[in-house]
Amino acid sequence: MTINLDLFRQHLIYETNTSAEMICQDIKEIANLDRESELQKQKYNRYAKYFGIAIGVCFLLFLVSGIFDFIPLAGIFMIAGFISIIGLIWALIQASKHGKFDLANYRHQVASEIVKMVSRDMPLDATISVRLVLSLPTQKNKLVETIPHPYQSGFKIDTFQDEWLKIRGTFTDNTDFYLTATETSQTKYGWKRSRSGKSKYKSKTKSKGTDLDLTMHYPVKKYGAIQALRGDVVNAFKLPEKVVLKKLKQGEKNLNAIAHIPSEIANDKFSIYQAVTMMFLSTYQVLNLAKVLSKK
Amino acid sequence: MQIQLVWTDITTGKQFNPTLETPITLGKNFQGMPAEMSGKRVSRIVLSDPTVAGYHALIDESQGELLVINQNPNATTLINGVSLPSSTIVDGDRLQIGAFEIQVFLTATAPQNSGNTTQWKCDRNLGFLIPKPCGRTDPTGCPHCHGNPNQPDVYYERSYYPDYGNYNRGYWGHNYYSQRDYYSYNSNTGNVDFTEADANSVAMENDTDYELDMGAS
Repeated sequence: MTINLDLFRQHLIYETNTSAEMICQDIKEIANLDRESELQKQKYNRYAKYFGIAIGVCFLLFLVSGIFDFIPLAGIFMIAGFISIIGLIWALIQASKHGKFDLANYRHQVASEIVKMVSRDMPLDATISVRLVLSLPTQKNKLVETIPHPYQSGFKIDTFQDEWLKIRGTFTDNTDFYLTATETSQTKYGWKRSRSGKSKYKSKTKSKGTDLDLTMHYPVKKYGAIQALRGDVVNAFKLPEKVVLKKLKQGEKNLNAIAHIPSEIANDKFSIYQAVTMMFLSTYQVLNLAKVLSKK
Repeated sequence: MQIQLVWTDITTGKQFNPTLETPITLGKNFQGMPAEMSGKRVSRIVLSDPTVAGYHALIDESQGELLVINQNPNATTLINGVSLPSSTIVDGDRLQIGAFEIQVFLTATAPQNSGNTTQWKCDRNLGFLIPKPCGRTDPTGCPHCHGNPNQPDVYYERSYYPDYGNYNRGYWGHNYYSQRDYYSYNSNTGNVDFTEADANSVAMENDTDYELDMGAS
């Protein structure tokens, strides 16, 4: 295990350059931490609910005791009510504390699956460089742009870009690959005035989908004849139904493809994994043919 | 039982001679053929030809004998030129499946490449993206071979891209693949040459097609 969980808790970023096996072990640790936090959060939320009910009951009984002049009883219910309020605050603080580590499951699950998939075609002693960001997509440091709302006066739109996954490595054929996943979110916010004249702060965050960016640097000696396939490479690219190929650029020594996953499936681990796998398969459908054509 | 099958790909002219463990299925559709039979992993051979059925024939061992069984009533399997629904086969027999003629050799008598005894080597392609021959001389314990029949398909993701690795007629890259011998890549200049003579031959082929198309204006 290479992960330092205390350090990880501070920034919710996992970054390493080690074997696929070690990475998968580390991600398993992260998944355990996530599961434990989820359970703890649920537990304290349940406590908060009970304390809330207790406050309500104590308040009612306090009123009833007051009406019937049972002063000593009213005092007891008042004290019980105060204790319940303290209990509620404590439970909410605990739930929020554990909620910080309730991570987006799809991110660490997809990262682990991709590492396993690419490692099949890597030398046994190869290392993979991984950076997995599990902090909130709308953190301040991920803000890239703020613009005024196009038609709601007084409202603004913040755009966040969260590059939550970077994986880099080298396959057995000496092809370097570099994959990134970037989720874009937008938050619309501002003060809204109701008919009664009251002003209310409104804020809404929406995901705008995820971009998968795959770059392959291949050895020219082995795959140089890829130049003959220029213009036809795009036809070899196959992606899942809702995923769109945004860009495909073929250089002399590299191939770069960017695919966009729409927001409705951007948080689905299966859709992301399938899209990534199909990007790799599409690229190698081209490279394997280029290899045949490059042979003298 | 291990046998060697020898045939020539009618599209590419390439000769194949894999040594395989029974049961062996032959057909046009890889997914349409069973992956497992009686707990044994099946060696599936894809023969890309319109006259071959999705799941055309099965070669299996029964009581020490090698059997070939036709799997599709609408398809024909010729054994030494005779159409039979099923038959025992022996060393050197010829199977005709669609346009493919496949010769069967028991591995003990299989043709030798070097003149010396050839050791069995697994010829399955391993590697998810980059196929490479397995080359194991003993399948025991191999997750990809017959060591663990309950092992799920480790490369199940290939089903996301069913055409992967296929450059036959009707698939992406066929035009390049079928003329692969004419391509010449110069690693010094970075140029890919498609030789003039070959370009002419392609042009002539096109011209002939045109001449035969009497409806052409």
